[in-house]
Amino acid sequence: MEESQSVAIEFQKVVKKFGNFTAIHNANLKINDNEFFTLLGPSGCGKTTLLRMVAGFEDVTEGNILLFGQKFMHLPPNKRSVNTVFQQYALFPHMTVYENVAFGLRMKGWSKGNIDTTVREMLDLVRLTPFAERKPNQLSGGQQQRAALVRAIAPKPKVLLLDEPLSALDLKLRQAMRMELKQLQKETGITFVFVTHDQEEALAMSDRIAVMSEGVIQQIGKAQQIYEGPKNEIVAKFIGETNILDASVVGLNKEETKYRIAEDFIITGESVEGLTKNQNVKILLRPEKIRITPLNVNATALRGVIEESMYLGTDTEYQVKVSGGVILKIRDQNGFERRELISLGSHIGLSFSKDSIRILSS
Amino acid sequence: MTQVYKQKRAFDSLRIWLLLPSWVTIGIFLLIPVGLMLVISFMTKEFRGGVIWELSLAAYDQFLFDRGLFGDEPPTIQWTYIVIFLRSIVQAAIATFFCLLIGFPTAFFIATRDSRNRTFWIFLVTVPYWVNLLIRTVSLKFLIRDNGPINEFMISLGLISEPLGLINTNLAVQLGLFYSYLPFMVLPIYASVERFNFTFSEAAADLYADKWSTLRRIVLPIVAPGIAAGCILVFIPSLGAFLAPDLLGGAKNFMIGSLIEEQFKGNAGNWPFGAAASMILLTMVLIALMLYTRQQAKSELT
Repeated sequence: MEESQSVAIEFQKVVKKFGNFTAIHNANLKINDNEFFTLLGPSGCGKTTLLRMVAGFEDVTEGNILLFGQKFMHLPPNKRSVNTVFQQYALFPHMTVYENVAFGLRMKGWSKGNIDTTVREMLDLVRLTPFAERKPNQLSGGQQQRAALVRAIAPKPKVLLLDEPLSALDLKLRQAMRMELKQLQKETGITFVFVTHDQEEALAMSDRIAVMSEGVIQQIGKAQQIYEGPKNEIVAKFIGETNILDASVVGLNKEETKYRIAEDFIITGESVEGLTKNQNVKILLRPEKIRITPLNVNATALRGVIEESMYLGTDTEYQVKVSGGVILKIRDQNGFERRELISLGSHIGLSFSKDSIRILSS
Repeated sequence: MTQVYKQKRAFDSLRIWLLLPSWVTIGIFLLIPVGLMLVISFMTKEFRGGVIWELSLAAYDQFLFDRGLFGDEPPTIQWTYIVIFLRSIVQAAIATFFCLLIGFPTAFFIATRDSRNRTFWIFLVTVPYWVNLLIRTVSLKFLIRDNGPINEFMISLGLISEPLGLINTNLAVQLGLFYSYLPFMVLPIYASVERFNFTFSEAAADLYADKWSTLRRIVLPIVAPGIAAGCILVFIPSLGAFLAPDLLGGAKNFMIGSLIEEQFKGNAGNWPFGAAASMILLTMVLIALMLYTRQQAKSELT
């Protein structure tokens, strides 16, 4: 399926150095046409650099980037049919919203009539028509955001680059804009490359995500793949809450694998290929996959003592001390099963299914 | 509530005391001299300088009308001083234009350097200011006179066969003004370009604008206040300058500044006439500034 789609942007062995500092290590990445693709990572991981190289604001030190199979790295930014939505919007302060949206079209040499029709269409699309004659500083943050968005979309770029466009908005607005962005991508059919450090944003909007850290693309995949099956510790730690446990393999057979985490703390997971006995591994266990059970139901169940609890509304996060002094994070939903919080110091039982245990490659 | 009110009262009286020094300074160094000038311009001249305290419009009349040697002929328009004024405006405008032409790229260059190097470049721009303006103007005269180093060097190279005749020309005056006031153009433009957010020019390039369009449509409008400040700071002192026209321009290229200076020099002067010329100059400058501020206010509203 993925192979049949045309590739909008392809990074081929891209390396970027700033002096002695290597910002991007050998990046290989294919972004498909009509895809909402997200580059996710902590600040300074090189995601913005990757974007700026596509836009033409940074050179590529080694390797190449192709736009629909064509070389375009030799072109200056104003000759590239990609547009950017900047983090602080960069709306021209001396121009009205209308003039801002018209700017790119005017520079492209469109006819007056064409410009007018397109600008009005664009302003309509994001409900900014009543604000067309306002200057950017007379708009709210959300309106500025939408103006910057249509300014970049109006010239009908082949690819739209979005550099943390939501980070300046407050939470409620940010959540509303997520929906709007995703809808806009579907309506326009333009490939979106979205840069963010906010994992929730990435999970909510993207068709696919590339997780980056320290200039390296760690993993590429759909939201669910990345959350449920992180390749390594970096990805696991960056996306969502995690318990990462050092363990050694103590038992292997076709159905299951047994891991020892501490002296009398042995857990069972599905069988995994390529493991050998006594091998040291890192195990990922998401806090929401662990169930708190009454102590006496199953004598073989894991036991623990509640050390800490944090009430978060929809759910509660507990820190539970299990045998061997290991602390596990547990997320317990405050749904219809849970009537009241479990008090600190309570002894509880813990259970989880075999398939919630993941082995991280180091 | 009353607490807040009391604090506000206390703050108000404190504010008066804090503002006092600046009001006193403005009063002593601005209002009193200008007021004095205004009064003197309406007095009668005394032949050895100074004034006779008798109301008279003679100074303004002398500026505008020619009534013959003995003052008894029918008045005709006195063009001499009007021409000097017009020449001054043209000279100042040309000097401002060249300051802008050279000053803008210079300021832009400095503002786009590494922040550690900027202070060094700014330092270089201000270095000439450590030397007195008179000395600098005299040095310039020495450089460009007929048997000065520039002419001799070019003759020795065979580029020219006789001196260029730079001295005592309008060009020499413009050069002098340009040299005197260039930093006044560079510094305010530097300040506004330094504050310019270069994401705007990235955004412009991203939206298909070439370098020229980016400069014209994005950079220039945004740094315009700095450019306007620079032009004002060069134009106004150029208009009233007297050192450069005196030393470099000779008698033909008289400017308002020199005219005014003459009136207060030694025993030959005419104080009321000098004061009247100053007031006319001041009025013109104020009108120009007013028009500018009104224009600014209008462009901010839309």
